[in-house]
Amino acid sequence: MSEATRTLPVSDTGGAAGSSASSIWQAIKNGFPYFLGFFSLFFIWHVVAVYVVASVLFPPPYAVLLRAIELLQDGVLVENVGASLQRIIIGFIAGSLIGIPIGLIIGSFPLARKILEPWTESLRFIPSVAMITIAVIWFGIGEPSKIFLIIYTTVFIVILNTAAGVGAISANKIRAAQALGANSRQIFFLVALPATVPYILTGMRIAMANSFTTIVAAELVAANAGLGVMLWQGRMYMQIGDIFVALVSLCILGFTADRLFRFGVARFAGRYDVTP
Amino acid sequence: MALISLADVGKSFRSREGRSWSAVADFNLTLEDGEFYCLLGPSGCGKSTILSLLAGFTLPSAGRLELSGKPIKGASRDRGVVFQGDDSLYPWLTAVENVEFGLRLRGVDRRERRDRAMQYLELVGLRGQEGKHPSELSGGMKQRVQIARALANEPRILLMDEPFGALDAQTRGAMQVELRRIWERMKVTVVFITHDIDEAIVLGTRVGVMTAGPGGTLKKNLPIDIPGERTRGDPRYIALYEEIHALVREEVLRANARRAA
Repeated sequence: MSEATRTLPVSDTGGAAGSSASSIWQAIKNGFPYFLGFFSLFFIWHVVAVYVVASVLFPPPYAVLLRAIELLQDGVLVENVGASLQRIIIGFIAGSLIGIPIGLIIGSFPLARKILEPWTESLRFIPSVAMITIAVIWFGIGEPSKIFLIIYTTVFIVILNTAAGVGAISANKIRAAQALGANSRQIFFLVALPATVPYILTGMRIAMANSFTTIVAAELVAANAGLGVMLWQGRMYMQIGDIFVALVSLCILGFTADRLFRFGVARFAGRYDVTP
Repeated sequence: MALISLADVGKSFRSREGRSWSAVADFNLTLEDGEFYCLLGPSGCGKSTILSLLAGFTLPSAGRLELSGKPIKGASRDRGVVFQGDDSLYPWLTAVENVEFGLRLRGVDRRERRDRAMQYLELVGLRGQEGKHPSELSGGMKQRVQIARALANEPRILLMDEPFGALDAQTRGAMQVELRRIWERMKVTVVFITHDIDEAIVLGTRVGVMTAGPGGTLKKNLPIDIPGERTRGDPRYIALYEEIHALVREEVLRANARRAA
């Protein structure tokens, strides 16, 4: 019937030149408000710093940029950003690798849920920031304590989302597979797991954002390098510029990490239809 | 021997408060090979429960339920299922990947299963749509994918649970014509659940009318002896419609009276 044979009236010949021009125009139209948003951020920052506050305690964007260039040149910025980023990446990946299977188990087996939920439902309410002191006592001020904290902050949110994802699988998806002859192993790997992927990815994205909070707090308390250290030393030596460079770096890092994650999802898991 | 036989089949559930209530009771039916059986009844009569039992998703609490003389103990690929909603399709797979899913489970190699899936997509009129994901397909197209997916597995019986219930009237009409054509070509046995009298007469070789639930049972079976394409102006159609309408109406009134009491 017509409903099945209906095709979209797409003309892909003849309109090539026109469509590329219009797609550039489309890109400008879509990108401009975004650009405007970013621009206004810096513009208002500038106005407030120079004309409203007018104090050395609140440097304007260009002063921060100049300081950032200095810190980049003497390697301080790269060292600190690298230290924080490395901890986040290791902890985030480890936390996800631990969280996903636990979440799948909790979501799949009611008995496992009953046994494991007291763990997750009590421990997840301890903010990872509150675990800093004990992490330092247990693992010292080196890398292990930071990575422990990032894992801690990642693992519960990933578990929770993964388990919720398993719970949200419609019964008909499972039933359809059963009626097509699937055994329980096939149902797990070919139905339950892919159906849960969007939830897992959402959990990981939230965990990534939490990791930034946690790492700064942990580095404020005890570390040799990292953005948190930069912030702390900025306070100690009244280096307002350094503090602002660290803050802006966090902004850029967080934004980039999130975009990269979304890009990766779209690129490799686009078929899973993740909410942006 | 009958293909399917249900003897005094009953199914009861336990409510949240722990009370037991019966969805269907004393259900007796035999189905022969090649039938297009439409099970009709008011909502809540337990017709979907019957389908669920036939599919093997649930097991009866009473009576015997047999396929070729062997009790049905669970879902199996000899009974394909088409669900009402589209939530049984796999959104991460394309149309053709959905259709070949059953073949993939059996380890049929990639080329062969793709060829066969394409044949079934063609059968349901979805040629050219194979690379689309379910989210890119209309409601009617998604139901076609479901039908192709079930048929590609070559089941002995196709169980359909109000498959066109969520479609608009035009699409539904078109789908009915297509399904009838597919059934004539494939010679598969169909059990079709519906609450739409017209749909039952247009499609079926036999219509079973259920009593109102809870504890619904089979009230009457009516053969539909209209060969060829069925038109709504046909006096045989009209007579059947009147008869079935009266049967269903009786049940609806009884259900309302029971609810009021």
